[in-house]
Amino acid sequence: MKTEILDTLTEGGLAKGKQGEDPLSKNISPRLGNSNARISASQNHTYNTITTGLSPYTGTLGKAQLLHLLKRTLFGVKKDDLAHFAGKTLTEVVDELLVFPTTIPSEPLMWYTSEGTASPSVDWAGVKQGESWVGKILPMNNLQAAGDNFWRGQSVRHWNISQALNQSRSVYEKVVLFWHNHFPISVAKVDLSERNFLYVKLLRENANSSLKDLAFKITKDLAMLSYLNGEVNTKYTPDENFAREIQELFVIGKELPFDQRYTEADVKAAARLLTGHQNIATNYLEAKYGFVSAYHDSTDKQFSAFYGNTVIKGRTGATAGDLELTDFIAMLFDDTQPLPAPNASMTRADVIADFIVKKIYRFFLYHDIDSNIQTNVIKPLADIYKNNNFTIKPVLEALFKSEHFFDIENTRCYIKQPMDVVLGLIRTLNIDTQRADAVAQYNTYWTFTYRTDEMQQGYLEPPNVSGWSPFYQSPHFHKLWINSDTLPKRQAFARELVGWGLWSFNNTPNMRLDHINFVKTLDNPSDPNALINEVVDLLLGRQLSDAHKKQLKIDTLLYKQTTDAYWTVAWNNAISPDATQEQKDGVTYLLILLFDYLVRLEEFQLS
Amino acid sequence: MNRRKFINNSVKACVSTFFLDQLTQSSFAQSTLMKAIMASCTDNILVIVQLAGGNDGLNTIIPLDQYSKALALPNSSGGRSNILLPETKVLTLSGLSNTAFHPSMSGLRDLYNSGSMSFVQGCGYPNPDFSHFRSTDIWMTGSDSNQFLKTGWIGRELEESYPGFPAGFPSAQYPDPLAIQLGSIVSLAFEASTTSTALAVTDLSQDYELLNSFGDAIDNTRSGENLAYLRGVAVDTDKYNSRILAAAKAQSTNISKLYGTEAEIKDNPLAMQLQGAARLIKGGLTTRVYMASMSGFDTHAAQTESDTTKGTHATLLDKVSKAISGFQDDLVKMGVNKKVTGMVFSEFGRRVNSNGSLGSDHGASMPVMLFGTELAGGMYGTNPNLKPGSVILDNVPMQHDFRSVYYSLLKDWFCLSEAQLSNVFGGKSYPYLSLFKAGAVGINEDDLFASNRTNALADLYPNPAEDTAKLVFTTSGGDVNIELLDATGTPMRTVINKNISAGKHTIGIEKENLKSGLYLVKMRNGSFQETKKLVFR
Repeated sequence: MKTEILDTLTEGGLAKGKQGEDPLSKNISPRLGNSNARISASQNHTYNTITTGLSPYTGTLGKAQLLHLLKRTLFGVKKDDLAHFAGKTLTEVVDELLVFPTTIPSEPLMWYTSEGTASPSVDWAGVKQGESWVGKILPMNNLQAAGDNFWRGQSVRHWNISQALNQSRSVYEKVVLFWHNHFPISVAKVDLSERNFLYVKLLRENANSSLKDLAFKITKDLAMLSYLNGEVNTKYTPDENFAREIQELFVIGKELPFDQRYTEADVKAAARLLTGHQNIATNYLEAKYGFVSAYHDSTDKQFSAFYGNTVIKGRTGATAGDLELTDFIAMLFDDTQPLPAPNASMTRADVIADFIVKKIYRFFLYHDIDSNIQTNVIKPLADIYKNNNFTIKPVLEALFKSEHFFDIENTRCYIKQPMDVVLGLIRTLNIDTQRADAVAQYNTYWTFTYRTDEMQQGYLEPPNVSGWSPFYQSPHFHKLWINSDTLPKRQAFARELVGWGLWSFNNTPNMRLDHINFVKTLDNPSDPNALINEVVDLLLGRQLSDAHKKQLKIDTLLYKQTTDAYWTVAWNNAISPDATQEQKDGVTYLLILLFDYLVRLEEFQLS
Repeated sequence: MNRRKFINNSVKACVSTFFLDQLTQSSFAQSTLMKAIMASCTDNILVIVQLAGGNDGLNTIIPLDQYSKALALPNSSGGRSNILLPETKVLTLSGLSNTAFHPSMSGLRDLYNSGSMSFVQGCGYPNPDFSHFRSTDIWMTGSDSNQFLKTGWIGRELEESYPGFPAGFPSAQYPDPLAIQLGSIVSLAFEASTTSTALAVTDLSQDYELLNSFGDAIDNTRSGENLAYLRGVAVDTDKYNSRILAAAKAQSTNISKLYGTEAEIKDNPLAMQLQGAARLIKGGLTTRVYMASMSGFDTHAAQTESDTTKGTHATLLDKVSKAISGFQDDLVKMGVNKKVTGMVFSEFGRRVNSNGSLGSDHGASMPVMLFGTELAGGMYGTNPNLKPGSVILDNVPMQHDFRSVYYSLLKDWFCLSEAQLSNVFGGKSYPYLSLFKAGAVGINEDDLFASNRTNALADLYPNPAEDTAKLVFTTSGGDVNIELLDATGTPMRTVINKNISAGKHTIGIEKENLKSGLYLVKMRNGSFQETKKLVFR
């Protein structure tokens, strides 16, 4: 047995070895590489070379194309969404998808039960159930108030996921998720609810900010200062955690060979530069950023050749932190200095643009980036990103309007992230998630938080500072969402929802598909063929063969009969004003058979 | 219409490849003893424990001789006095005067002193990388610092031992997952060239109901590729799930009290994972490699409290110690200890010099711990020398390439040939460490089961065979004679005629110059006689 060590390419091999080779193509997959080899054991599997690029897509914007665009930009597609966009041009659709909200519409609410207070529905800061707790500071050094703080942190998670659930027709919520994956924190690890909320607010308010601003703000974000130890990084006690990750994971990335990028000395210099950013509130449960110059290392910071041997002058006083951070960001994003050989054709700005654009591409379209895609898509997108001051919208606009985005190879192939599975299905099926009071409402949201946790995409709880592995772990990427543990959990969630009900926390009503009313919204529900076609479009990532649909029609809607009239009659009876409960139940049962089958198909996992 | 068809297509070809390879191994083995050893190696199990985040080796296995010259100095002078464990509190080890364990590790101390634990000092690799992610990948793949492998060291090992994987797996011969990740995210270590060798397991009672769907054809697109992958996972989940449920049911409880109280276990994910592993092993699962993990070792701050025996690191090590000593105790009490060896690693150690927030930053080498009753025990290497010159080192120097440990485990515990080892390690070899007791390697644990001490021709496969058939037989011990006869009963060859120990044995029967046709395999031991038919193509 020959061992597959095909990709033992030493780092730098490409860059050093072949003349004219793009050093940033190091991480791209060779065509017929590992991702294809994965199933080569079962069959010979090759797909066409993808040569499309960023030229505007000029083909039809039919239902298939619209489904593709909406499934990649929203969490699931609703029938209403399709109707809303039908007949519009691609430019109109994409422009609307790129409208971001300008303000945060609400704040997380008190819904938990407090211990030790006069009433369990009032917490240690006097906040009542149903009220926002933001800015109402809990007393410190009080174990019961610490319990409130924990539940407040959970309510940040539930509130945040509810924003995604109740999204507008905009890619905004997926962009927020993208930035959270890029600049991750863990609510449980930080465990300071005010800070956790401010972190989410920062991401939400800066979804289209320049990466320079994001990097600047996230450096001073109090949740991040806790999560990556920035607040214990002082001139007396340097702590390299954040200084490393801002270079390795947040800005510069690892696209260049390790011996051609920043050095360990750069990590240490950056750690010294980043000293002094603190929470200055006396009560640690309060969030009050401040710069403590006494903790700041005011000596000059010498960076390596990768950073053009830049020396950032050490500063003193209250403005030292911002001034040095500004210089640091400017140094990172420099677009004037060529990198040391062999990368002299590039600047650091180019490296950053390439790194971030690849991540965007993989998040929204597909993980496999070969040399064609590197040349025809990634490079031009990186130029767009750099030339638009590192803001994400122009990149998304060019991508979503491109012929490459609609290349048939890029459709139907994306393994849904758990957020797509959970929120997508809830949205597509018009499940009513509105509850009369905050307690029931947050318990309902908790169900979604819990289910996505279980499927390994706990929102605001990524496994570590590099985010979720399916977004970066080569070679399998999105396939990593699926294994023998998570696949049954994804299916179980969907089956509960379309079957006898999705269990919900603390006796809030279980959620369940209203089969008859949902099917009524479809174009032609009395025709079993049209019904199945339409539901397959909405729920599955790809269409089924005619033979398959015929078989499943017989097995479900026709209840083993062979004439379509069996369904048509049953349906018409069930929706007539004088329908008996028996008639309704009978049709509901057939619809359960259909939906249960569809969500268990592997095609349900694709989008 | 059968969705399973797509994975069955190439089964036949791969099965014969597999036995061809077994034949190659057999031909190296000159004696029945060697053959017995090889058979037992296929029963041996490796349990890997990952301490994620970078475990502070210096505060785990403590080099007391480094206190005065380095460690006890304040952190402003390059030492770590603020997180240093008091010499009076550390746990001493029998036979070692200058090396001790963290006070939280009494369970592991007992294991060490009883000879069922060893550790290899200063494990790392040249040009250490200080990124968690990169260094984890290096440990998982067994790569060099500047080398990027897409397959894991265990994945490559299992491909060597089970050529043809994944086509045809699971099968009647190999009904169980080759590897199990105790947790939901499968490690890179298990990646083979085409797929992962490991199954993720979090719940030993979860039943899976496979949809028997129509199974549309897979097209040659990215979409088709992903669909095929999804179907493969679904089919494997279904097939393996019933085996796991059965094994968990066969051993429905844990025995050891050393895992801690019920409340402690609930708060100790590693203990829960290893409890599951113990049950599956005792329950009869033939899975070769398990990986458990615990995170939280990235102790940049508050690694210790002002009382340095307390704090985050102490809590973590307490959990590790209880989990592993409980697991080992379970294995012994369940009678399966002889076929299990464990290895504990972290992606890197931490800096010699602590930081001021009672923590330590990313470092380089650290000790790898091993546990199991078949180990030789003891310390490999020496205490690190943290001040070889005039200044205290930044990082713990490397004494052993971590791949030396991998290499030695695969060589002795999984009995890989030099050629196979060369494949696993990309043509490189690493210094060999003799980790096991003399004679421990190759002990067939199946011998402990009463059913394996009765005489029987247990299995003969594949049948019909192309070039080699594998015969599995059990015996009560003594003179065993197995012959290959032709269809008329004429002896063609003696397969084995020797006094052998009680237990389960495996031996290859090669076609060599025999004509295609029907043969009989006849086993005799005392008054016992049994015959099975074998067809060579």
